[in-house]
Amino acid sequence: MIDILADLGGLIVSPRQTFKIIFAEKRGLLQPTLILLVMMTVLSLVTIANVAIRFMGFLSPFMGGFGDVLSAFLGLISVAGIVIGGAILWLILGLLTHVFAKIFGGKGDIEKAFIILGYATVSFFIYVILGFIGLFTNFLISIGLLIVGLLISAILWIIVASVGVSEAYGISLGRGLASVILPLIVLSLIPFLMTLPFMSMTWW
Amino acid sequence: MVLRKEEVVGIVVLTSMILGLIAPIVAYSVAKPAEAPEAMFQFPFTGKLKYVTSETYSVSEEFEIVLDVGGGGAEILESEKENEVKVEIYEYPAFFSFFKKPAVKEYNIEFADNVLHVTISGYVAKVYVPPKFVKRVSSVVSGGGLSVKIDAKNVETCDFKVTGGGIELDLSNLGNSTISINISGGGFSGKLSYGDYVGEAKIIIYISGGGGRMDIENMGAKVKVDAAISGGGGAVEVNGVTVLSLGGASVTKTHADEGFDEAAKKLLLSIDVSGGGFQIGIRK
Repeated sequence: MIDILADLGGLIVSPRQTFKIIFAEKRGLLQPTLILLVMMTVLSLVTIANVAIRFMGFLSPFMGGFGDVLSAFLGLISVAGIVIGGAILWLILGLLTHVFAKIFGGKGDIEKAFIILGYATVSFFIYVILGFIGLFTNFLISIGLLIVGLLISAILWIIVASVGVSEAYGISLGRGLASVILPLIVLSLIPFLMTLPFMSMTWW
Repeated sequence: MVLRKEEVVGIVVLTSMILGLIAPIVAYSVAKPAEAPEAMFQFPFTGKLKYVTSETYSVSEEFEIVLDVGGGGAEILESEKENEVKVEIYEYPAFFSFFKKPAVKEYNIEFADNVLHVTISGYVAKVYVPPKFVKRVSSVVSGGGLSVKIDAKNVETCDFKVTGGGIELDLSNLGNSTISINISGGGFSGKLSYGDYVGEAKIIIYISGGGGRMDIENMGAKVKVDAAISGGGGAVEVNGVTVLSLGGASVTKTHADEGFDEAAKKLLLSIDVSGGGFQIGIRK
């Protein structure tokens, strides 16, 4: 148990040292996959608790018992959607991170990229904690806390993942950072490029 | 046992996982329902209105108000002067106007044959009326909002049709009048307060895709509620007790106070909802 706690905390406090241990022990994909799935689940539950349940509470006077059933159903669908979406994103980002790490002269197999990005999702514990605190505040403050939590967690995730890539692929921290950020830029550009033709139509 | 900093942070991470798992349960008991920022519903529009024009009429007998709102907003308020009707037209600030084509903007104000007819499209109208002369109010709102806040002692009928928009009513001192609200894709909120009268006051609500909430105060009246739902849900409370709760595919329910037929003061509420929700609270 202490080992698990040291791993979880080590990824935040001393990520390079922790990744060294992880790769030295030749750990497989099971543990990071479990961490990713658990983090995605709690992340989605906190988000739904802050947003959907409040809105269902607003609607329930209109919908009676039907509102509760609808709430539970939508909640389950949302959790499943976020977990599945998170897993797909993990696979895509892992693949792109590996490609960029290789381009930057890194040496390592693709499994390491998935391991790093899986473990790095531990960073979202800040989002979960702030989201949980948000439950005790009003809707607008809770949304603010979620946004702040998301920003801090995302930055922390990038730092942890960059250190991991640098360690696993034997490249500098700067190249590790580029290997993590560039896939995010590529992914964020795809929807923008897809909507570009429609946006130009709207302007006309 | 002294914990290392990694283990302390690890405990925090593990705790966050547990908190995340119980978050929905905690939310059900402690989280306050979402409240849209009040500014969103400030009527008719937030932001500064730009004065365009106004018309003033002198009245000495009962008249009817007819409002046609197609994109924009209208507000009916009590006039400060006893015999004066004043209509003010404003422009409202457009958001992100550079993304949109110019909207159709027009207004028209007429007062003839005891009918005040105000038509606006893309404007805000503030209509100030002396309440004692208002006999009928009717409005067609198509993509916009309407707010009515007057003493309605002499009002006989109110007829509001809303398509893609919202309506906010605050009518006080009502008598045996007929209030009719027809919502098709939109919402309403209402506060109706009745004074003393003999006869039957009627409230007829038809909702097709939308919802609303209404608080009614009618002391001493006997109440009858006819409610029909086809996809959606709603509830009617009388003095804080739920007398009708509807939900599901197709349901019809009726509630009538004992002695309703013989009562001198009656309130008949008829609700027909097709895809939507409502909540009505009656205090009597």
